[in-house]
Amino acid sequence: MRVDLQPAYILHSRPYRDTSLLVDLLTPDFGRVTAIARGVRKTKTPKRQLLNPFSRLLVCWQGKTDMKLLTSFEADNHFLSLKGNHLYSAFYLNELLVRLLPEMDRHNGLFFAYEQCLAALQQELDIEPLLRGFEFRLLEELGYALDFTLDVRNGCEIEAQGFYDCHIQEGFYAAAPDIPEAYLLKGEWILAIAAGNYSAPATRQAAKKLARRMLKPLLGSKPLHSRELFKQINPDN
Amino acid sequence: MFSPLIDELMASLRCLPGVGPKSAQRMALHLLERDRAGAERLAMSLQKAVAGVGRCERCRTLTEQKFCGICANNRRDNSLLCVVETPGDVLAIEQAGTYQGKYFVLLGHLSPIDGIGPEDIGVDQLIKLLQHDPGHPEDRIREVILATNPTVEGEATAYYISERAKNLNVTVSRIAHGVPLGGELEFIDGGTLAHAFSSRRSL
Repeated sequence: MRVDLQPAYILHSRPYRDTSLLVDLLTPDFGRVTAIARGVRKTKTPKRQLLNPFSRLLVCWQGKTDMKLLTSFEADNHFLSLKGNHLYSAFYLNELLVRLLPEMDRHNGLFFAYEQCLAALQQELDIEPLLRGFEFRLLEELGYALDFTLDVRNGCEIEAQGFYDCHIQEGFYAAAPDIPEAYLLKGEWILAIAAGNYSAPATRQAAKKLARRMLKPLLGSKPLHSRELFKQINPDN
Repeated sequence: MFSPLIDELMASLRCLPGVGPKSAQRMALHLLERDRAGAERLAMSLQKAVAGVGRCERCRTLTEQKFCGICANNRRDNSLLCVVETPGDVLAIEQAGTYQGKYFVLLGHLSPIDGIGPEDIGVDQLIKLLQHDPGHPEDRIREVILATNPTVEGEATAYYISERAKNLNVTVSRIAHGVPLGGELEFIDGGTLAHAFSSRRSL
C-alpha cells in the first residue's frame, strides 16, 4: 500500500539502527502510524530537524505490515514554538496518544482535536480545560464516551444537586451512600464539565480526578512520565 | 566461514556506530593480516580506557581523572557555567573558542515518552553545584548558560533547569537560536526563520 502526502503530526521519534529513525505519526486517515525514516541520522540535513515532535508534515509511506517505510516527507509550513508548562502539556498529549491509541485505527476527529489543542497551547491559553477536553475526547474515540448529561442506571438526567459516581464502561449513576469521598461527583460539576465551563476550582479538581480515574485502567500500572515531570515543576498541581 | 575467534572479533567490531557485517569483516581482516601491532595497541588502549575512564565529579564529562581538564583549570571563569547535553557539545563550544567559563554535561536530555527523567541527566547534581558555596565570592556561579540542543526535548530540559534554578540567586540564560552566519534567508527552513523572528532584538 502506498500513501501519498498525508498530513501528519510527529508524536515521537527514536533512533533505529545506525542511521535511521522510528517515528510515531498521527494522521487523519490512518490514526497512529509507526514508520521508519531511513538514513535521516546520517548527515545533519535539514530533513532531520523536521522529524521532531509537534511538527506537522506531509508524509508518504509504503508498506502493509506494522512497519512502514517513510518514502518522503516535507514540512507543511506550520511551525509551533511551545514553551514551559505548555510544552510539557503537549508532551503529555503525545505520551497519551502513543500509549493508548492502537496503530492504524482510523480516528479522523482526533487528529483535528489534537491540532486544535496544540494551537491553543501555542497561544498559551489556560492549560487545564484544554487537557481535560482532549482526555475526554480521546476516551470517546477509544470507545469509552461518557454521557455527561445522563444518569445511566436510572435513565434520567443528571441533576445539579445530585451526587454521582462514574464507571468507565457505564457512565454516571447516582452514588451509593458508602462510596469514598474522593470518587464522589456533584451533579453541578458534571454539568459544568459537559458545558466546558471550568471556571470553578472545584470543577477543575473533579474533572482532573475523573479523567485520571477513567484513563487509569487503560494506561495500566506504568506511570505517565510527562505527568511526573509536570508535577516536579508545579508541586501544588 | 571463519574460525570462531575471527567470527567473534567481527561480531565485537559491529558494536561500533556505522559498522555493519561487511565493514566489520574488512576491519578484522585488516588488523589480523596487515597491522598486528596496531591491533595490539588498539586492544590495550580499549582495555585501559574502559577500565579507567569515568565521569568528572564536577561536570560529569568523560575523564579518567577526578576532575576533567576544564574543571581543574584555575584560569577559567568559575562564575559562568554552561549546561550542555553531550561531551561532543563541550568540544564544539571549545573549538569556537570564545567561552571561558566552565561546563556541566547532562549526558542526555529530558524525554518523557522514553522515560528519561531529571534524575537520569544529573539535574540534582547540577543544583547542588549551584548551591555550593566555594568560600571565595568570585568563584560563586553567577550565571548558568543553557546550551541544550534547539529541539523540543532540549527546550523541555532547559525549561526544567531554569525552573529549578529560579530561587538560587543565579542568572539563567539560554543561547540564541536563529539564522546561521553566512547563510541565505531563502534557503533556511521555516521553523528556524519563525524562531529567528520571534526572538529578534532591537539595535
